[in-house]
Amino acid sequence: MDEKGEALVGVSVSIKENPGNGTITDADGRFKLSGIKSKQTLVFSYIGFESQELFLRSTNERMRIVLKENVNMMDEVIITSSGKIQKKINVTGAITSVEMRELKVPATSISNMLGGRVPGIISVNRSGEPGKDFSEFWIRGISTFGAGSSALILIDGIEGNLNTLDPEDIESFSILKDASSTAVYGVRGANGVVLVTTKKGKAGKLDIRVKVNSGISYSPRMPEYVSATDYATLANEASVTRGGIPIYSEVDLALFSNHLDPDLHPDVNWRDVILKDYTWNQQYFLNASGGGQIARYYISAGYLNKEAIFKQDKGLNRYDTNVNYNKFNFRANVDVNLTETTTLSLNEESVITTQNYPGYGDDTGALWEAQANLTPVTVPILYSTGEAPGYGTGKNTVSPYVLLNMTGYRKSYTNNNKITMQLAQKLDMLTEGLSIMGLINLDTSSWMWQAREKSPAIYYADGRARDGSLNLVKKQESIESFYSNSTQSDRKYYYEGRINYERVFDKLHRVGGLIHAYWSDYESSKYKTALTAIPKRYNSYASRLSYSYADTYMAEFNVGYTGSEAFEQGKKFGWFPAVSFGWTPSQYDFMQKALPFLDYLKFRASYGIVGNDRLTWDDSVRFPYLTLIGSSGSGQWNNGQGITETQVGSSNLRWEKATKYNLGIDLRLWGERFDATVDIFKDVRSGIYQQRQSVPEEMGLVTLPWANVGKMKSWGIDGHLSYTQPLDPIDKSKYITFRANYTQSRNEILEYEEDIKKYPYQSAVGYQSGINRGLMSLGLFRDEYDIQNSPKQEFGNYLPGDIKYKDVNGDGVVNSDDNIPLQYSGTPQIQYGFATEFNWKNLNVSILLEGVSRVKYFRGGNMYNPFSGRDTGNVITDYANPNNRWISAEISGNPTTENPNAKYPRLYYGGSWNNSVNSTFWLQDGSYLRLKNVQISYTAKIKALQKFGLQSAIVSLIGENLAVWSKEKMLDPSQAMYNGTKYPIQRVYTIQLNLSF
Amino acid sequence: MKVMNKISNNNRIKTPLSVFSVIMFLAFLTFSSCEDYLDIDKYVYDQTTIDSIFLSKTRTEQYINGAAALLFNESLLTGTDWGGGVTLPSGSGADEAIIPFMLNGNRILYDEITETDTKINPWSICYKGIRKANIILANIHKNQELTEMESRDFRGRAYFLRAYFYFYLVRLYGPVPILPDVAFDTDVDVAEASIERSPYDQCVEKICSDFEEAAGLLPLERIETEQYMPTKGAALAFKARIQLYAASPLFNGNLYYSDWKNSEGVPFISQVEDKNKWAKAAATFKRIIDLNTYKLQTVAKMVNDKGTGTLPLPGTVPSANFPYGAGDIDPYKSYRSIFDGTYQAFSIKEYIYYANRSDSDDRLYFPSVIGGNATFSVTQDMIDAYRMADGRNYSEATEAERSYEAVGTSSTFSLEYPLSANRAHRDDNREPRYYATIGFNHCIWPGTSFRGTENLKNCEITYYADGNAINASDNNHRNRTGYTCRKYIHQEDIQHWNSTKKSKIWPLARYAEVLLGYAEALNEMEGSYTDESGVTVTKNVDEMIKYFNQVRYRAGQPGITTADASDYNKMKEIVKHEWQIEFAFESRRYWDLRRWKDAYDAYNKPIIGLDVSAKTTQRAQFYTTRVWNTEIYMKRMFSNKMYLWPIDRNVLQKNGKLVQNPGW
Repeated sequence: MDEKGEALVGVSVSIKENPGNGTITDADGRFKLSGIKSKQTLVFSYIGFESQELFLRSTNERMRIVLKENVNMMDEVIITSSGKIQKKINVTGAITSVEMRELKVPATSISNMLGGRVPGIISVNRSGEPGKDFSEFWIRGISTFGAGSSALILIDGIEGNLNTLDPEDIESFSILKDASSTAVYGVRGANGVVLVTTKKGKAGKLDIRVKVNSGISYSPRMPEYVSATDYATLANEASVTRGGIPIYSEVDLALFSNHLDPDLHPDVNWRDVILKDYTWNQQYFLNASGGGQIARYYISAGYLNKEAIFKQDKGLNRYDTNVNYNKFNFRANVDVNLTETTTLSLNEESVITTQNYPGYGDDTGALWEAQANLTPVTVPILYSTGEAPGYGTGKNTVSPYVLLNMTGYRKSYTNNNKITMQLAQKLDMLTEGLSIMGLINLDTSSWMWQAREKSPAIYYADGRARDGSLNLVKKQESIESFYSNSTQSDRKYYYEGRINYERVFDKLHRVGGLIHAYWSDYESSKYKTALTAIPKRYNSYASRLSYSYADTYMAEFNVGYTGSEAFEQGKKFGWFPAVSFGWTPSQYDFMQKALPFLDYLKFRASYGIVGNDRLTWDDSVRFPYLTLIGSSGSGQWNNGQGITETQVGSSNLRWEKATKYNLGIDLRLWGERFDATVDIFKDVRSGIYQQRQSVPEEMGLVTLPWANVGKMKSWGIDGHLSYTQPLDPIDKSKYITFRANYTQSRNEILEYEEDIKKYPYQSAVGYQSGINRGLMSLGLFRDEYDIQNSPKQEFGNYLPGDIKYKDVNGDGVVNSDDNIPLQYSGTPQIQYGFATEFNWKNLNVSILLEGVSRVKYFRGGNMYNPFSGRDTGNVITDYANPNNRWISAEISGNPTTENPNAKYPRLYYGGSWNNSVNSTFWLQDGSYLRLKNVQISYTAKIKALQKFGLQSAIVSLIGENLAVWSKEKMLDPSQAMYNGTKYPIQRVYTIQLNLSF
Repeated sequence: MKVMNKISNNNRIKTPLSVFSVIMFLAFLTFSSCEDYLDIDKYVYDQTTIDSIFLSKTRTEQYINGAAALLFNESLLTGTDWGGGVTLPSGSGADEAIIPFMLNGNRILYDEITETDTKINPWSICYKGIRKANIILANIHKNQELTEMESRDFRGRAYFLRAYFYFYLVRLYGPVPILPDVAFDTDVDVAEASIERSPYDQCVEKICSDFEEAAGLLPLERIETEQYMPTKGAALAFKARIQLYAASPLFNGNLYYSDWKNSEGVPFISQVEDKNKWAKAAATFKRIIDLNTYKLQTVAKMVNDKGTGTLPLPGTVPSANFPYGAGDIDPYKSYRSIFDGTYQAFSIKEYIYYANRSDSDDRLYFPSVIGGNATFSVTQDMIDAYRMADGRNYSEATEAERSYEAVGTSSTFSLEYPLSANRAHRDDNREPRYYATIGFNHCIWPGTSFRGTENLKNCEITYYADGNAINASDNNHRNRTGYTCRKYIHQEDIQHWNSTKKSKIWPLARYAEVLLGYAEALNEMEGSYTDESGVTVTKNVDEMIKYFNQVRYRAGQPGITTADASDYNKMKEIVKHEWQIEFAFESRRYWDLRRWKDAYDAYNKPIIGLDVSAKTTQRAQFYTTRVWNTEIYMKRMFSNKMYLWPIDRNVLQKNGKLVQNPGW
């Protein structure tokens, strides 16, 4: 039993003098063990509890044996590479392991939970659309400009998808950041590894948990566009200020404001037309786990439904046209003891997602773009005669109401099934601490979309006939409903074998060894050419040796010998060695005496090499080492067929190589209340794949080869600290915890294959990868004199009040040669988080703040370029505010409105090229601090309900994305770079009920 | 809560299963050996790889064909603006004619070429060809399927291709980088693969040695199915040509380029004139003559009682049989049949290396009434270069012979060439090559293959403002000088769907070049010279006369005399004049004007032509020559930078060691 007196099921009981003889406890915590002689010692052990030894004087005693829960953090375990469980104290690599307790929020995906919570992660979430609201993240930032910069995700050792995994199924996960922990992944480990383990059944009584939540979400930030009257007035200003005539007459203006002619003088707020104020989502989750000595199981099922915020006109169709995301999860993890030392495990996972879209396409971008593109007066929602309006034929010029409601619908399905069978055998009988494991995994998935598409005829009214009827010009013929579909399927095999050895000699020498091998094979119907459809295969052998002396000195050697099919014969495999050391001075007696508050101090260092074998993100280029031959004519020799290289093979292609350095320190103080880990790292990526650009033409290559020519370094720091203050010396359920974490990753391109540049600043070398490039703005032109005395700008015509640029290279003209690297990229360099958790008996309150900084983006697009298409191109209210823009004195009658420091330049009917090129004028700081999560939970243990088996119920109120503080006010800063053409990030309030039986 | 599992201990199977799982595990580890599992050979083994090419004879030959497919189609005077890559400026960029559109080929005349937009940029294609040739030469020894003969032939083709691609570059750009003969690895360091331009003479040496290798390996003659492929003679012909160019003033001691040096300070263009370079060219020409394989194309004299046969030979021309006179040949037809497709190419012994001619330029020659636009406008200077039938220069012709009045009687010669009664005296009694080459006012275009009912056969073409050469609805599509080129128009040809056009040959090298080149080189050289092959050439007047006069006699023209040939300066002018006429509109004059450094004078001359603004009723005015300068196409110019074509910016940007040609 445990300390609370509850029976423990599955405690293993063995006889010390005769280890072969043992059993485990049953559901009532009892056990029966025959063959015990007196004067023997029984050993009771159970995961999460301290082992107990019991010396038996006689065999007939009845005893209650109480196992103490293991709370010593020194013995905390951590999942390291190859899924190996290692004691944290012995870890020498840079590994962040995450307690799922910290992550318990109703996020759709784990990927959204990482940013600001996990040190070493830089993450961005660019969209709030159901089914696309996942975060992209990088371990320690972007460290290559090559094809793949994303981490390898392993779920129970198998490559998988974090976005479809139900967070509730996760037991724990680890982020492997340095080379020592990822070396065994060889050619796949360069960008770091995320290891996820799912829950397993524990021997014991049946445990059933139910989670139900329901959320309401809305878009807290969306750009505001002007009304028809304001629009028309501004349009007149835009035209007149450039010497044109007013676009709209007084009569027009009157009609816009009195709404008497909704066909030719509409006043549409497109946002209100297609968007609801809020929308709902639901999530249900059920799991059952338990088992006994022979078998243990964990079975779960989950369902998620998210509806988009689009306002569909339900009366119009008998089907749903709204964007919608549905997900079903099913998981079964079953472990069976075939013998006492042999365990067979079967893990099964199925995920089905269903997405719904309006018929015109699965990209909602057009619906958002249309808001910035269609002005309130371009077209009405529908003509009064019933015709569907559109200004042009492009998706963003057709009434979004029509796109959303009148184009049919399309649905897509993704089905994924994974089955893993694992056989583990302990071989203590050969030598103590030895075990082996073999695993087979089959992973199949298929995908289909089907559409029942149609479109009404699109009309544009360009005036009225004499009799007053509308002059409708047909822009696009109607399309009758038609059906189409597309399917794709793939499958993967994965085999793995492992030999593990772990033993402590003389209580001082802890020796560990691992030999690990795997094979994987992936084929997919998405590859359409003979070459790209060749199965992707990996084969890897890896080994680890670790040794620690008295848990004070530690050393670990890792080596991966990994190969991929991507390279030529004889060059497929490579060695990836890594070495790491640890030193724990807090283990010395004198330290413990001298610094009693110091519980734990460890220094870590690691160095190693890892690889990355992918050429392009979509695998469109494979086997560039092959020289491919195709036919050519024979030209003027007229001598029959000719053949020529259609692809020139690249010689000596190898994988991209990451050399990683890591220095870390772990510290715990004051009785484990304070906990900190800080790592500094450097990653030098060399041999990054690039298609050669500056190869002299004299080489005579038919196609440009690929080569390992790029080089980039990234460096930074990550770490976390936490402090827990008990609020009651006895009751451990009363405490407050503060946590903070910080990740900073900078990078610089060291070598980059490019044409010889005219000016050094045009080169990518020496700058951050993906750095924003543009002109240097000098504000707005003051007057004609200012224009006359400034270098000529080659971006169309310009007047006072237009943006003035710096002639950086001093050649007398401002043109694209003056584009210089500005500051930062769209990916933050710094991400941090602060969390606090307060627990008072059954009440738990947690707050998470998350922030990023050193990130910039350009404002632009239609949102910041009013009247860009003359009749199209909406105006945001911020631009319409006369205090914000440059207005000529002739129009305003006030010379102070010719403000050279105005936020927006002079209006331009038709869109100004000069004012819309990327420059520092539009470069915006994307830093923010977000109140990402607030959760209030109350755990109720209601005696009355326990009769019905209900152990506990937790009611939680959760708010996500409750506030954002940033320089950007109109859009969510994390997606502001898209200038309003993406589904807004949502603010969500959820009520959640967790029941456990 | 009670659950399913009662603990039971009775199903423990011990060792056997453990052993089983160990065995399974070991079997697993040996699943397959590493490289084999990842081998993709089974997916690609049956596709052709670069290595498999050189194991099969067929594949090897196909690969060589693939390299030859990179050779440019040089047969279009306009370049190939009508589709396909533009190849050379030498057709429309010469001084022989103007074309009133901006073509990639003629832009140079109007200084419309810049480094960033060179319009003609064969650089990368030539180097692709060179790389392929290098690959062939490095791998062909692996091929066990080839006989010794085939191997020699194949290697010869590869050497020829490499030499020809270099020749193509050097002719256009002057000095170019000469690469190592082994193709660079694809992952070579950019700095290592960036090679600077070699001095011109080194380029020529490389080209000559490759052509020499090719000449040693290629067969002397080929079967008809292989007739377009190079032979020993072809290799020698191009060797001789580049030697002739290299000996010429532009590249031989040209002080204009004295400041233009490579990184080691060696001038790109030699600064000391070396007369021996002429002797080297002469020796190679002599070797071709000594092959005894080629002779000038001749057609037997045609005699009939209708008076429509071969024109009577002028008294100034020896009546001995060819090659000692023109007594037994029809000079017009002899010359014309080289170009007009009358005979099977294989039967013409004058061709040394030739290709099919593309006919997409033809619309520029054909007058509007029979389907063209007649825009190819030959300058009056070119017209006046043609001599009179008896060999006098046109400038020596009498006033009556130069009259614009109509001759008044029609006739036909060589059975096929009708002369209209309306032709002017000045277009009468000219040398046969004039009729074979030039379309003039009142010239008759027989178009005999026309099968329609309209009256399009035997059209008498006029270039008056209201003439039938002009498309009245499109003023831009008209001739600007009153003359066009008819060299590649067979008498039966007509630009009409209801007709057939003879397919034509484009001679890339023909024997007349060998004879003229030999004469030119002999005149320029000094003393005596023996080349590596043991051929000795000596500056010898009789030798010059003997071979030069063959070209004259075949054209029905009088030969040169010992006095002419003994006078170095006179002989020089005679040879240049002969090159101009004999090789008119063959894309040769562009290069010749430059190598002789005559381009400055030739181009900076006004465009002179007939007054095509005159109507049919204004005959006298029409035949008044006038300077045309109303359009940009008539304002051609030449500056020193134009001796060499600019290297494209894109090429320069990829090789930091390249330097641009002077003046660009």
